[in-house]
Amino acid sequence: MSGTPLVVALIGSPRPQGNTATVVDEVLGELAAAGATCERIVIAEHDVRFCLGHDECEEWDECPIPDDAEAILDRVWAADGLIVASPVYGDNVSAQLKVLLDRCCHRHNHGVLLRARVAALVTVSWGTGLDETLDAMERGIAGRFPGPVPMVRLKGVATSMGDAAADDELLARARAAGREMARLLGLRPVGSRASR
Amino acid sequence: MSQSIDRPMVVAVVGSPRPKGNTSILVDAALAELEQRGAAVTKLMLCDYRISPCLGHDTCSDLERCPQGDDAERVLATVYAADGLLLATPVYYEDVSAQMKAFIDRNVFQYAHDIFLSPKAVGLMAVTAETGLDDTLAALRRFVALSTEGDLPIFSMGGFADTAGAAAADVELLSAARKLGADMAGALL
Repeated sequence: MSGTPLVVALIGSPRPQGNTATVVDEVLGELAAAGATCERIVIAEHDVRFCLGHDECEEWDECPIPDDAEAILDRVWAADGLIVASPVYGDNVSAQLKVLLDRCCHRHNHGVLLRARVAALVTVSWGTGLDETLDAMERGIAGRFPGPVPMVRLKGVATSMGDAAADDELLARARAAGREMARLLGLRPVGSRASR
Repeated sequence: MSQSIDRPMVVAVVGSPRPKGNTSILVDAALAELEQRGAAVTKLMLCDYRISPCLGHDTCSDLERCPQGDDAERVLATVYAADGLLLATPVYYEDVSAQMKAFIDRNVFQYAHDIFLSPKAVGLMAVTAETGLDDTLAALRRFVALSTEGDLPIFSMGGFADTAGAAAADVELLSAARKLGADMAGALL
């Protein structure tokens, strides 16, 4: 392959080292081992403000909201593989992720589509709302691609801080999701690289 | 007007960033109907308040007040005192707006302190230019289910409006909004 694929993980949890981030890191670890370049963005560590629904959005070259959203979206739009992750809040994606999804509006209105050819959706909950949250993520990003892309779905249950790191079964599924993304990105399986 | 003390209070929580947008116009129509039928009404445009996303503090249930210190506390106080609750949002990417989502997430402080909504009627409204009405109303319904104990009457409406302010001239939409208000009034009064 020419050049290594870029994988960008967008983490909608307010906790940079919480259960959602732990699971995402496990996915990224597998992708990095397979040769991908990985970036991890915790939305809550940046200044990202609400979309204000400007009527003139389509006419403006740039979104006038002076925050970090465009810089983050530049990375998202540069990705070959996109991971969208959120804890379940209110049986839905977190507000942090929703703020950023809404801010895709300017690119959407200007017909600027994602170039990622693989996506993964990751969510962690203490109980309910896992499928609803994955569905909300899928609906939220599906229209940003030029056509259908494979979306790897990964969900886990974690009741308190640190649970995910101690859940071998969940971590194994996270690594499997990472390998599946790597395969879809055309990367060779980890074990076969040395003998290539 | 002479019985203002006895009138049920209906609070509308509006997740649109546009004070005069379609969602807001339709909320006004629903509230006018409620008022006409004897309710007292309060309209909260979330964009007029500072409500940040929840920060997921581990210690939430031990804290007497949310440490964020923004406007969430007083907005929630108004909402939890309501006899009738109207939740209205534009559809943004097949879901509630981020403004509405931040409001929803901040209710976790209430849950952590065993405080639940107890309105006698709930109205849900979603307004879209294209798609996503059912998914957005379902997201609002999930919030109501998480925030309330037991069954309560829920009325909902979805509307299509593709340009700013179009709802103001849409007889059918305005009539659906008034019906939402009338249905809520029927359950409250």
